[in-house]
Amino acid sequence: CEKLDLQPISSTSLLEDEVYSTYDGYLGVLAKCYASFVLQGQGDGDVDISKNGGRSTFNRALYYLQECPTDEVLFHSSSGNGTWTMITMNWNPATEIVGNMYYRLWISVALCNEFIRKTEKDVMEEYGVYNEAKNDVGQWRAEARFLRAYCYYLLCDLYGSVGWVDDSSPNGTYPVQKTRTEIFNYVESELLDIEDQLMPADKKVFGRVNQVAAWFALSRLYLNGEIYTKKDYNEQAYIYSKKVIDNSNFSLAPNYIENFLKDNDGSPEIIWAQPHDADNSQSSGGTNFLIKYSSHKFMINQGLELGITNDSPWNINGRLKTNLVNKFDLDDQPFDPSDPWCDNKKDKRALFYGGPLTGDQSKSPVQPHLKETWREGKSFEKNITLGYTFTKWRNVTKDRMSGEEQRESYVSVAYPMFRKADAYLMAAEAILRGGGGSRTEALNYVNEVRNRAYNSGNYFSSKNIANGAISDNELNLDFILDERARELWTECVRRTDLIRFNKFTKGYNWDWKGQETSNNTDHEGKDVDDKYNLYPIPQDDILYNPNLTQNPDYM
Amino acid sequence: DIAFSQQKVTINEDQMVTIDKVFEIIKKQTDYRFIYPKKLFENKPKLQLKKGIIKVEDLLRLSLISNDLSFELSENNNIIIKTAKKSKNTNASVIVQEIQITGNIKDINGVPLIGANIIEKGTTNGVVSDFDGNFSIKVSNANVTLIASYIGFITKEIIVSDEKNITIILDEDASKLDEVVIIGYGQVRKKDATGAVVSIKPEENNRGSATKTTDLLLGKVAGLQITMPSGSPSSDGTIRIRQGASLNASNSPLIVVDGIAGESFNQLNSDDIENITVLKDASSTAIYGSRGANGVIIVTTKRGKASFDGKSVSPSFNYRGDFSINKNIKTLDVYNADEFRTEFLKRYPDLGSVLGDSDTDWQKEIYRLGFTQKHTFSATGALPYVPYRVSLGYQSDKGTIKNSKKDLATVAINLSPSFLNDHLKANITFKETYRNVPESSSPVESAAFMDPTAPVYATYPNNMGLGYYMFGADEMGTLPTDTSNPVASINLARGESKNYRTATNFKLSYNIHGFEDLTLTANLGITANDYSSSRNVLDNSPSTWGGYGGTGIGIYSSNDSYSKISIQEYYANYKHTFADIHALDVTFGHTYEKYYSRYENSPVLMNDNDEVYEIGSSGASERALMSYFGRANYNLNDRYLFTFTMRADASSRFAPETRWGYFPSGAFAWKLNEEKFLENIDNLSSLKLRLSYGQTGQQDINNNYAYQASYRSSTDDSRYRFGDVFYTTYRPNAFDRNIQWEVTSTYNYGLDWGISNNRIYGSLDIYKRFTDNLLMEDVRVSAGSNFSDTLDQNIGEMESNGVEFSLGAILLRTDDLEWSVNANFAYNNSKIKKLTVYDGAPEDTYIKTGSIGSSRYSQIHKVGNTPYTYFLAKQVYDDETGKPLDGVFYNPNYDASVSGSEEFVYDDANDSNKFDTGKSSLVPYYGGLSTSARYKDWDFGLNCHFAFGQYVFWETASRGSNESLYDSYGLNPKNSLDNTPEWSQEHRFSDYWLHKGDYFKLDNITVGYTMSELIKDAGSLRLSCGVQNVLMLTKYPGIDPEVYSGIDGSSYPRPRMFMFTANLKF
Repeated sequence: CEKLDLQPISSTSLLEDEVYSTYDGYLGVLAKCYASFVLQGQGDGDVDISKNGGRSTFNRALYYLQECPTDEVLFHSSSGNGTWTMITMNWNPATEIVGNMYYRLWISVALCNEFIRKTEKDVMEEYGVYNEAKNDVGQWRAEARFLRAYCYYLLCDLYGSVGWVDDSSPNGTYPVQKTRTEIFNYVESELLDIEDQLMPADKKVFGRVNQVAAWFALSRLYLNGEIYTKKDYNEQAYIYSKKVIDNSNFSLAPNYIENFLKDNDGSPEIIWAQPHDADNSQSSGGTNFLIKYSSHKFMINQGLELGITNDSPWNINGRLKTNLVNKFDLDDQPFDPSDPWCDNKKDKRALFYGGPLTGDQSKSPVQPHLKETWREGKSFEKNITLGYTFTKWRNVTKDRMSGEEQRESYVSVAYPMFRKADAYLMAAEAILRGGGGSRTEALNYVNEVRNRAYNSGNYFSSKNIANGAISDNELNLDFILDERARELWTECVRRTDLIRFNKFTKGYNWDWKGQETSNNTDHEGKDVDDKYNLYPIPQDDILYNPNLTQNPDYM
Repeated sequence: DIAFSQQKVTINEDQMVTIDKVFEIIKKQTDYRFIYPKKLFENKPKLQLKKGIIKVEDLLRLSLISNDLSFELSENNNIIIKTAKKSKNTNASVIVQEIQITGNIKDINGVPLIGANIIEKGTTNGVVSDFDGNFSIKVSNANVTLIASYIGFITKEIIVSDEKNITIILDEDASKLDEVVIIGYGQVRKKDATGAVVSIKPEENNRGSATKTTDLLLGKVAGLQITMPSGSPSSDGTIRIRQGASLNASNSPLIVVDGIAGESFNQLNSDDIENITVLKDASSTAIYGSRGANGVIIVTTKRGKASFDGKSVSPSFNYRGDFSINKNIKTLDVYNADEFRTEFLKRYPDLGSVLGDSDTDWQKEIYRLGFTQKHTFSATGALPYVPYRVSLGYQSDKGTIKNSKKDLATVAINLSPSFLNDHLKANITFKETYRNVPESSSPVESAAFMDPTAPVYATYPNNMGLGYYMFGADEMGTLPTDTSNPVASINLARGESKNYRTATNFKLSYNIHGFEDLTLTANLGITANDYSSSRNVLDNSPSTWGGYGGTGIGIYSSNDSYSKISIQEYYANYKHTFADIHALDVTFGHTYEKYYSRYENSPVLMNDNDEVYEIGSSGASERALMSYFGRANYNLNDRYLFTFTMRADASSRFAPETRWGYFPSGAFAWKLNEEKFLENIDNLSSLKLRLSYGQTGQQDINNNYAYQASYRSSTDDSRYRFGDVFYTTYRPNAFDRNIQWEVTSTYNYGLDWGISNNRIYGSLDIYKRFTDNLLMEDVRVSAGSNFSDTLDQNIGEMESNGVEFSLGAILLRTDDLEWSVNANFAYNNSKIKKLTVYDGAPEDTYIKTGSIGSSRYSQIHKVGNTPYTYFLAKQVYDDETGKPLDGVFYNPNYDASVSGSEEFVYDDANDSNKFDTGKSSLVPYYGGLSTSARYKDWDFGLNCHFAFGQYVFWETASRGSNESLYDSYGLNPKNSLDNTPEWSQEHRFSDYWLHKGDYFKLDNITVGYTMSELIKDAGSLRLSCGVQNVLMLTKYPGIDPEVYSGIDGSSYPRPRMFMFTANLKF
């Protein structure tokens, strides 16, 4: 039967033996575990998640879930996958966009499980690479376990009680369902277990995680722990976020925007960076998505330098809600064409684009922008003149080099998964929630972030217009929630934050929230059912994995 | 001797044989032995045998009568040949013959029938016609009735009154019941077939258009649905037998050309086809095992002339020229410029500046009169021992859309030499095809949607846009927002795709000396397909100002692919009849097939500096199939027929432990007309009952390595950065070690009948089919259990049943006039029973299908439903006006007895807003009608086909309603189908767009005239003209409801073709 034992012959196909017979082969599989958080697939049209192309990339999928149903962003185009459903918060188990993140996370889990299985000592000995790799394999395994744990954290945060499977079962095993608390406990135990096996805190390699990333992940896990387990974890949240803050290997970048530019691989602030590269790591998600979906070729042709070729933009499909824009000082809100880098704003984080377009508009339907995403008496419109878009993310270096020759079709801006500024705000919040530490300490943490935003205090520069520091009497939990919006908008934490503050479904409403339709002329938000605090498990997985039960009220 | 009088033999092909050879044929198929002096038949004329069945007694009489010989049957089945007693006087039974009648016997085409039997009615007095069809018979009186008979022709009685010289024209037996039909690895008499088998000879069907090979079958076979190709010259039709047995794996029937399986139809020149046989039920297809599940179509190509005794036969030549002028007959009804302006300004009063002041009918701009010509020339003859046929074909098809074109050249060579006294036969076929299609865009829809106020041409500085209008550009040519000018995309397309295909097939069969019951056959075939295409976007063309950096620099690229199929088959056939009544025909064999393919897409490079715009890619893949098969046909007393088949297939697509599939089948047929109790029914010529059951397999999925653990490396643009180094990543591919055969079991009940000497004949088939372990590609798998969210798996079950009915009649038949009609009709209904790996899934389980763009699906496969059921939002209509309400739909979950709103407003992403319409795109009722008539040298033909019960989603209209007058991003005004409501928002999933797809089509009408005896009694010329796509009756509002997928996205419309054909034979 030799004649029937045919093996893949394509140059892009490899057999297990070929992959695992070299050190670099192992590294390539680990790189895939990471790349699953950045790229859609292996290139040449290949997509890890077969049905959803760019929308299935990790950060873009997460963005739809963490940003759309909040006070931050808005999508105009309904492209058949459920973005409107996100805006109006009436998704269901069949909503395509709800499933993208779920499947992306599970693929990452499966990839990590496989890597962990293949890095068992006896397996590596069989492939003959153990000796060469034995000094590194411990760290590799810890990295894969970190990535897997972070996926389970997100599954826990987004979907609640989900399936569970680890490397002890062979590929093909269906996950069995665990409670949300069990998933939480598993993530916690994994992160604590690998904490000391990861790359030490004083080292860093761009694109990979070290010990500090584990501390950061634990901070985020603990800060939200009560939501997942009904148990208070603020003390641990404080301890671990303080560990991040006290680590001197990472520090806030002198200017806020430097974290979101082409050369942000040099930013000292980013603890876990997801690399994008115009030539070597092309993704339709992540920063490529953020820059293109929020821009239009008119913006580039009229002088706003985003570092992308003018056929790249996706026609301003993504906008900001006025609820976010209004969290900034009124003076900081409008866009000033003569100040495209927002140097003349008090808060340098108000990186909005709006206001009048210049140039010849005689043949163009484009009219001056409005801050509002709707026009009085009109329905939700697919019109680029409505709503502000943003320029926080740019494929330009911090020396603001620009010009046509520097424009790229894809972008080279890394996406900051974990950023130290977030650790300051987490620590401050944990303190205010009674996790330990002092109020003064909390105020200092918040002001560290604000001074950097205003180029004041320790971060003073010639661009300073006003002092960003707040006084003790301004500091409270609600302020922190707003400050998190100002600091971290479009960074995929908003939904989790609102839930932690019990403001996601009820008690705080933003444009379009709870409307039955995106076409309604009434854009005023209203309360929604509490079931929306969790996303449903995609209907397909309920169907194809008989071990699973749907989240309450989605059945 | 009753047994002797019933005994028959089969003549497999038309042949010219010696009388010795006739005896050999009889010996081989019966238990009779011959006793006669050697050299008795030396220098005796040869006999022309027609393909078919003949009684041994008749065959003997035919062979001997002209030689003044007679025969008698002795003990031990010996037939003794004797010289007939010469003396008339001593033979009391011979009537005194006084009158000599001479004559000529021929077929309707004027071809002489050699060796036809002419007998004086009521006597044993008879003669046989000679080489020229001439005969001479002495009869007792002037008013005598002669009976003329010939195998494969209808026996005719001729009343001779005082004529000394008569011409007899015999008609071929239209019912073809005596014909031999090709089945897998062998052949069988049609009337002995146990399965649902239909055979078609293209030569005998009036052909409307010969431009597409699938046209030959359109509407001709019950249960065979051909969705006609679109109007594009390069498009081919879709063929389905009984709708196909799979849900997601291939539903295409297996096409076997000259014994080589897996061939393609459209690469054949229709003029090279001798015969097409369609196998429908499992008992006929099971011999093809894994690939027979969707039915089998066996094509035999034409061969050379038989060569006798090593003599050459001078060739006859055939030229056929087809010419047609093709005209587009329907365009979409959209706003003209004034209407568009009015509607646009009503909606966007502030945006008038974006409109132009032209009045362009974009649809008119893209069409032209098409012209097709096709020339086929063939020579058929024999060199010593080597019959040959050579055919050359050329086709040039200029479509009705400007610049659409196809050039096709074909060469077919067939050699069929025989050696060792015909014991060793070879058949060698070469088929070469070259096809060239220029790059074509698909402007049908973009032309319909283009802003009619925009001009076609515009001039910008520096030759920007190459003279074509670019929407949104200012006078300087800058900032076009839409560069999809359909006329520019047609005229500026550069590039072509070339396809060179070569198929070689070598077949050798050896009839063992001394053991003639056994024949061994080897069949080797190699088919290679070389495909290459190139593409170039010209600098400055409109699209370069929209894409590729918006710099005006074009791009170029090329793609190459190659595939090779090699097949080896070895089989043995044993035929023997025991004790007169037990006829056994056993075949067993082995095949191995290997498929190889590779592709290479070059990088897309910029015209100016060869810089890579998009990286290239390449890949390759192989698969193999190994099989053992066996079949036994057992014929008891020529009444009870049994067929048993077993095939074992192993596919490289499955793991060693699941690799082998075993596919058995059994069939029984009962020739009721041979029974005593039906003997007295007048007019009943044949009646046969057929019962069969069988299993077939399916493994035809795209992934050749679905069971194997493998990795995919990343391309250079998808690497991951560690520190400063970009690493190539390796991803394990999802796999399912347990993937295995999809198995289809079919029960078939059939009845064949013929009355009035088979002038009226028909068949009825009823079947029930179950498919288990449905192979489904890319079906969702439990998340986290594998390396992708989808996997190729065996997930379900499907059940179908159907009825097929066909009826034919020769309504009139005289020497000058013949008129026949044929009709067929089929019903099929399929239901999905299961869609999950495990049992007990929820009842309403469904899988989305029917993609209408990124992540948009309009259909579902749902348990309990027909596959491809539409899944849409239910439109609410205004009670008074009856018009659909903008954005208002019924809540599919609405239940009047519970709370909840009846109506809801729609979001196209929400499945829960859609409902199961219960309407599918699959065609449940399908049929064909044809009629042909001949009056003297004139012939006439007409073909129709029809379908009803299916639904069509008019996707073009769903995107071209008024809501899209201004497109998604407010940048490109788009025209609208003006019969759609004035909607302000997207309604793409509204069931308002779902229409009944019933149609009746008059496919073609042809009239022909034949001039025979052009050059000295030889040669003929037939001239014909006709119209293709004559008439369509339908209520469907779009261009054409005949869309295989059921989603009408405006493909290239089928043109009306005015045809002229000249066919010269000499």
